[in-house]
Amino acid sequence: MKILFASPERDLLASYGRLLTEEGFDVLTAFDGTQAVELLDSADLLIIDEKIPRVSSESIIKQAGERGTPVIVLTYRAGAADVGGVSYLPFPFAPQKLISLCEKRGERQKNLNGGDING
Amino acid sequence: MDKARKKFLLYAMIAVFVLLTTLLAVINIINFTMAGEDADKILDMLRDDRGQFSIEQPTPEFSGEPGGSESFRFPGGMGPMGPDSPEMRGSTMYFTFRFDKNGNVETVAFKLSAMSEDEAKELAKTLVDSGKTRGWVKTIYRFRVYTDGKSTYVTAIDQARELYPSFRILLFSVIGEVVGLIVSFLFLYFIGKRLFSPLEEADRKQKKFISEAENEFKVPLTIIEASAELIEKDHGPSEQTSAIRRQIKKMAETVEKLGALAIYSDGDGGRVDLSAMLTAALESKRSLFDEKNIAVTQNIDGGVVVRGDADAFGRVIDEIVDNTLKFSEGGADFTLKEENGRVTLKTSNKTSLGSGSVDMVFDRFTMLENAEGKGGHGLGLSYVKDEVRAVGGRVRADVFGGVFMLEITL
Repeated sequence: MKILFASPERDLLASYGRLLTEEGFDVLTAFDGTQAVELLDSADLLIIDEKIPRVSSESIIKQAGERGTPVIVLTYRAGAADVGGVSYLPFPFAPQKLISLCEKRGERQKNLNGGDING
Repeated sequence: MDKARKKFLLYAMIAVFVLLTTLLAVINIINFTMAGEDADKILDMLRDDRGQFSIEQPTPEFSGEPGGSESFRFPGGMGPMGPDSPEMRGSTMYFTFRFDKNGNVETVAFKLSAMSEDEAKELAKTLVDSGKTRGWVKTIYRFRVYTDGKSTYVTAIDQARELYPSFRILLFSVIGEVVGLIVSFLFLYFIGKRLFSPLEEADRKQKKFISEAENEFKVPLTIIEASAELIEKDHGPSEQTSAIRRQIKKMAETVEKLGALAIYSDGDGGRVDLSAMLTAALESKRSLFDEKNIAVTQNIDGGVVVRGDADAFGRVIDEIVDNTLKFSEGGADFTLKEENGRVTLKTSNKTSLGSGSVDMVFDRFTMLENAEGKGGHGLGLSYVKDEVRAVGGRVRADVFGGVFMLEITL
């Protein structure tokens, strides 16, 4: 499964990129909203930092929704409720939390697509 | 801080209201009391003259008798005023009736236009029957009932002209007070705005700083934790990575508290957002609940706000969540509701605690049978009880069917 990880925090991308790769995911990274939009079509799952610059996270989440791509939003607010294909994970979080959320989202997407998903 | 400004405005307005009301009330009370005293002075003269003035009779002032010289005078050589005026005898409107021992009435003097002689007689009879010796009747008539040993006299004087300025002053006092309150409100409103705006700005900046600081810490903590995980993957777990994880946990809790400082209180220690507080407390402990396989369900109404100390409520919420985390032996449920102005916070969790022990859960330093090896000092719920009672709330605990239930009502 291809994950697009969009965040302006390069260290976050580097550390979680490697962790997710070691868990068997293909990870694409984007430092800003423009890159994220460009790479969106090739992703099966979008992980997006709420504070992504250049293009608003809301707009990218909306575009992902239109493509049927599930989204994990890394949020700075506590208590944000999951809606449809969008899950919220508040900072700070443990690596295992994000990995298990990716697995759950990937599993659900796989079921929706009739098992046609890589990773 | 907005609350502090409103409080300042409220207290200042109460002070202005009390001051104005007291001042105007004193002026009017003195005014009406003096009007009564002036009328009594005239009634004294009438009593001394057996109920009627002779217009030809000179006033004490002009006859050189004592009394007149003490009267109030305007500067410039004007004559005495009020009851001592030389015109008083001629201008006073009054009646006097004499009642003999058989109840027969005789008119001594009748000099009124506002009522007929028969009506005046009826009024005089009522006054004799009432047993009163002096006072006001029909608002504008000052009366006196007196006797010369043989007969009873009732004299009443019409004070309408003398009372009219007093009533006018009363009316102006009421209007003046209303206008004064409006002007004071506007003045204090603008003064308050100027006075409090630097404080409000400082408070806003402080909250913004705390909120930003909280966010600035969140991402680094997440990265450090991921880095610790990667170090462990590369080199295996070590004491150093365990120390990093412990410190991350501590810092995450501190960051959570920083967030609470910015959100929960409105700055004057007044309003506390219990919904945000409970949600944040559960969120911060979510991983710990997960680790213990405790499935948490929450039913939290949004915007439940209570009055009180944010720190104290924060500790109460923390204790309740910690207590559930420590002692739940299965699922746990948190409910926060507000109905008819009453706030109810209810938690329930599976327990092996017997119903006979539940009364002791609030006792200090009491460790119940299910607390063995779970840490704590038996202080948590005792603290909760004290804090809730301190703000006038109620707290109760119960065990039924293997479920421990704690309910707080505020």
